[in-house]
Amino acid sequence: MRVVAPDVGGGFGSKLNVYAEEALALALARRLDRPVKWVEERSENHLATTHGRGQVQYIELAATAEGKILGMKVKLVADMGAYLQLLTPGIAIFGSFTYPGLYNFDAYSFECVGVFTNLTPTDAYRGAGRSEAAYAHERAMDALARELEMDPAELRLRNLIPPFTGPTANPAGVMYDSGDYEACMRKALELADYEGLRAEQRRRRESGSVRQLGIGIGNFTESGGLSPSKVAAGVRLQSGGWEAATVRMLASGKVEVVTGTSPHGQGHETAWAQIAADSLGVSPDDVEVLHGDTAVAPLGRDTYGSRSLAVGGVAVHLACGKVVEKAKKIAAHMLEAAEGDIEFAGGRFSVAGSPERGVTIQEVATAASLAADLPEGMEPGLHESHVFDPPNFTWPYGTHICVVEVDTETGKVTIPKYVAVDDCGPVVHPAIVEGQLHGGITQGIAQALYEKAIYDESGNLLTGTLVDYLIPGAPDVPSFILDRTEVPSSTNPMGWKGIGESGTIGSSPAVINAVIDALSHLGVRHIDMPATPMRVWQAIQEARGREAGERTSGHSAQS
Amino acid sequence: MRRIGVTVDGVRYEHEVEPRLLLVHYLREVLGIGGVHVGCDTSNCGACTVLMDGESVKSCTILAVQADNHEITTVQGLARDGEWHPVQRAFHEAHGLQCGYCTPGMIMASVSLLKENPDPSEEEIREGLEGNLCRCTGYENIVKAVRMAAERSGERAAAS
Ligand code: FES
Ligand code: FES
Repeated sequence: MRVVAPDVGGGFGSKLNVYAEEALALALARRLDRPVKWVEERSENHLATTHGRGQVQYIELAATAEGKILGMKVKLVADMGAYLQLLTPGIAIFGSFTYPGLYNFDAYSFECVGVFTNLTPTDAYRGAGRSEAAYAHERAMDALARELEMDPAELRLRNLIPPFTGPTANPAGVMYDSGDYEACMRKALELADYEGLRAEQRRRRESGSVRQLGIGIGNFTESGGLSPSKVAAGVRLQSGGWEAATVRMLASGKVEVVTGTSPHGQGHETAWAQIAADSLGVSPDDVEVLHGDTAVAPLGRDTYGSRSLAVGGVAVHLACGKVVEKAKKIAAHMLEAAEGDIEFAGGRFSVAGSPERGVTIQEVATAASLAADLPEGMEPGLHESHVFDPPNFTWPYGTHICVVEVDTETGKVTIPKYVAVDDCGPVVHPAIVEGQLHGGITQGIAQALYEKAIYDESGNLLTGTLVDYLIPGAPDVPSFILDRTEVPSSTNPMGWKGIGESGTIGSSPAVINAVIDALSHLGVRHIDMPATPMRVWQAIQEARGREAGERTSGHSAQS
Repeated sequence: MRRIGVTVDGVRYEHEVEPRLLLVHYLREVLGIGGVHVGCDTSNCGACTVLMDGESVKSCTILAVQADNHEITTVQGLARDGEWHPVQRAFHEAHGLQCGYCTPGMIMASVSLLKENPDPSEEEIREGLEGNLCRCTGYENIVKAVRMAAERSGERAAAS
């Protein structure tokens, strides 16, 4: 079988699965002995493509009166849908690593019950497992802060894991790679002008403004760089977690990079060309990235779990290293010098001490291809492969701060300001990183304010078209203020962590925390996602009703 | 069947078509213009946006027969003499696309928006592109691209 899938559209998890219709198309093609094309329409896609999230979460925190967290207890009921798909039962479990978030405490317990329902199967959706975790722990942090009458930022700062540079166990027992969470969080607070926002919030509360201001924080980490094969096997995933790359220098001096990752719009071609160009000292224009066809790139595991750079990109880098190593031997032979005396910089090999004696890597590639005069016993050609199996996950992290205005008469939420400070390690291509964050944050905002799969009582999907399922348009989302810190990961030699899912993970909790924060002085404590105007308005009415009831029955002191 | 004559990207076509054939299907399946995308079945996404006599339309909301004797421009007809249209160039430079699925429609809607309002504010751009959905970019760089194109054409106008 040969699969050709170049430049598929955005997948966000849904394209990991093999769907029944795909197998059916193959079976039909064989039976009929002719090509079969299957086109899934949008409404079929809504109905049959795996859905995301679908959890009922119970989370408890134990803390001292000073706001030091002592323990966390998590219980989940996770909707599997009607059938298990590729990773269905694994998604909620995968999240179990990250419920402790960026915080340090001793006791942790996690329990999950997966239930079959008569709904569409759930599976990975951008942020899978970690989005749910971050949502729960950040909602809980805000609830604790309210309980203790403490500023939610201050509470978080008191509980952050202190800076570390090598593998360090979190309360769930997994090894985080590196981090300086406080630096990241302080940067975000400053960028958002947190103090100024709180002052403005006070002003609006005092004046009884119709448009109340809310500030929500989303601190999170995600396990990226999926995944060490041993860990994958440990959770009975029937799939290794490695990624493959081949780097070929042609006789012309041009470079071909074959990658097993599958670009869905993240810009692998651009970034991989850049990685190869940097490692080999050639121009990125001379690098061609080949992918998306099993006849061309037979080895690979695809794109998922913020892994493409942190696993696939690292494989490209390491394969380039092998190319340089071999090229160095040939260069030494060409320059009649000892290999130990050869230096490599800017794409050129030269003899230490006499820099005018040198050859470019392109000249070496030509010589390797002509093979007329190579070191004794050396294979012709300049091409190497590397399969990288990461020793650990990577743990990108960040602090997102969302500012909302809630119209208390209509329940409508708008976002005048959104700040995200992320740490994905050293950045290969800043525009791509920012683009991933823009899109990711927007999807998290969408989950928090707009999108929901709704079913009737017998399990029929009521949101089967884009008329009923509200994907936000350009006017519905803000412009983003982004910044970053760069603490290298200890998981791979380049320190890269990945950024694909961070935006989605940090944003939903930041948005909902902000909405509740805007209304907490009215007595609102909880609103489920999506916080549609109707839900927000109802929450305000209920809180007012409660208050009025308490006033008339004279029990307000006990509330 | 009905006979129609349509000019698409500067080329005149004549075809017998079913009266119920949507313009988007005429463009994609009869003329083979794959740059016109189908992203939904409810006229929400805007991936199919083209220009009809210079104004943007969702080509899934009109019938091929309604395009009879009209001029259609798709994203594939925007470039001039091998040079990208300024809006295409701005999308490329501002990283205004990721997977590219929404892009043809976004670009056509932006071209039409800039024709109506050559110097739109960020808010006007967001409002103007309301009918086009993107799942990847969060719109930020799309808005940036449209501003970039507007500023450049402003500079060109000032220079000439
Ligand atoms: S295909 Fe979605 S609006 Fe035309
Ligand atoms: S770039 Fe993927 S939908 Fe817009």
